[in-house]
Amino acid sequence: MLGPSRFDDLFETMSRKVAGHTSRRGLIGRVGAVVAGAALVPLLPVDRRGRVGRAEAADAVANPRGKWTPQDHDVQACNYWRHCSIDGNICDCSGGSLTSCPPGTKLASSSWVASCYNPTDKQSYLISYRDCCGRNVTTGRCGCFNTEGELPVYRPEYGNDIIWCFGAEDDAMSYHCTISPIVGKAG
Amino acid sequence: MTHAHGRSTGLPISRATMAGAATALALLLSATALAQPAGGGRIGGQSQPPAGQELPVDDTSVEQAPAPNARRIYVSDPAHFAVLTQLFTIDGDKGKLLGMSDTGFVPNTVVASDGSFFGTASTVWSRLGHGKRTDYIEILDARTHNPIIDIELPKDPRFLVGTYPMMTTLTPDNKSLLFYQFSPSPAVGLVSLTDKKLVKMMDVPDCYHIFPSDNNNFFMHCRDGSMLKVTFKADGSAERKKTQVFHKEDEYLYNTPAYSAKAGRIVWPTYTGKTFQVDVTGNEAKFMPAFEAFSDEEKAQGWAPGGWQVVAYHRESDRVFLLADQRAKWTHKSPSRFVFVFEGKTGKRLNKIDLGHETDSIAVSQDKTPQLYALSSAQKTLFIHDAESGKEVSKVDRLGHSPLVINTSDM
Repeated sequence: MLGPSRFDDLFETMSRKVAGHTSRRGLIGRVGAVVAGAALVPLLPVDRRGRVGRAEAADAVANPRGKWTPQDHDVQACNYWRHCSIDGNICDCSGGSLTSCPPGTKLASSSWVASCYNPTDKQSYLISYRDCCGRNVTTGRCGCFNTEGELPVYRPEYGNDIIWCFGAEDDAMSYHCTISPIVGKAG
Repeated sequence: MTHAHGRSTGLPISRATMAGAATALALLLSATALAQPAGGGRIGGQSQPPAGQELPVDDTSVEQAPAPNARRIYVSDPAHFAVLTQLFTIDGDKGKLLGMSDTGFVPNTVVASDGSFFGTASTVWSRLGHGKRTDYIEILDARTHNPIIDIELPKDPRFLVGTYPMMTTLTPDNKSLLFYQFSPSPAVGLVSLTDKKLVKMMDVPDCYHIFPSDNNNFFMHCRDGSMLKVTFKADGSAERKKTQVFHKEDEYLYNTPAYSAKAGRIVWPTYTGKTFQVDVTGNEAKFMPAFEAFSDEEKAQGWAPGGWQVVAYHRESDRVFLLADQRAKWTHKSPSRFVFVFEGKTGKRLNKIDLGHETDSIAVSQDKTPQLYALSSAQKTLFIHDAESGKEVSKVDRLGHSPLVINTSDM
């Protein structure tokens, strides 16, 4: 039976103006479409103002409660600026890169987003975190748990606890690592 | 590969024979190593007979855990998104590990309201990280830890997410299990533990978490800031009704609220410490006045909740325990070192406990003199404190890779 699509909902409920009713059975739902819907997620009308990544602060690695201090030279470090809301493993440490998955994994088409501050050009960018899936991680390399602008699960487009493997080839849903591509300028 | 053959007879030496010989040798060496001092005594925990006498032959067995009580604790280790994970059973009275159970990818634990069983909703693949996916419910006996119910869920409906306790739960009569589906559409799965099958996926709007208020009603929290009441029948047919919006859009509720089904109380802090409480007794959502855990001055000093399971609720004393520390904004999931205790009814602060260690998750037992459980993922240790004084009374270490979630019984 065809049902309402989760991503249909996400698309629909980015604004609370339309959030007060039951999920609808729309076109995307009828095509099934985790994949089609997931591909829309980076295009959603994200509020790019309120959660821009911040610069200048104490080292979050040394102090788990310290302010986020991004840097722009070490891609494999958790405080690399693009990783400001990553929850998982940096793919660059596992045979991938900032924008590509390691061999053997499957790239999801869905994502969560965050606005991250680049300390070099002092601009904030919208990062669309994409998971690489279909391989186990017994001991992940470069595991990070950043939560800049991270919102609760009822705002899933900003939620980094979710296994964002939707839309990956072969329906791969186990988690391996995450890439941090830029999809636009924030702010 | 060449098989081993005895040269004199040409007959194959069985693996069993070789293993038996090896075992006998090992026992002999072991007995030698434990050679007792003259006059007998205890070495290595073994009773030693007087000189000249042999140790008795041992009986072997498989242990059973003691009968569960309110201080039975289950600690889940999702192991940083590994596909093979573990659930640890702990005796809070003795500070002792009782056993371990197999779990899969981002498992959700449930514990019966009388403690008689526990279980998980889990996901595995036929080839470890890939292959055919199987979502399943496994229920285990609290004493033997043997599976007593195993149900495969068709169409892989589980929401795979960092483990939130109230995304999978039991009805108060322990006869039904409810779990959340995120994709392709929001729904709650109704599983009959009596009939051992998935009854139905019940469509819901854009709402999350599941709080059963009785055996045929549960509440959810919705994206728009309201609660949803779902009334369902045994066949999964359901009616839905939303409440008023009770919090603002920028009041971000933690993913891990505390819930006591017996008290009918949901306790739900925000990132800044404003704490909402919902009384769902009588299957009606009654919104209690929210209280601020921290004054404006304290907030200016950075005091705010932080961790994974940041709140616990003790039913009989109506006390709210909140894990918090001084922190920068957007560090809401980083560990904390303090627990603030409040009276639930008034929000009055009663105590501030310095745990003395970084803590990711807290929980309390529901007995009259509760224990406060404080789990450190980095130290892989569950610290057990007296909930009144805050004093650490024991701890259990070496809990897997990155233990994160504590489950206790609402007994």
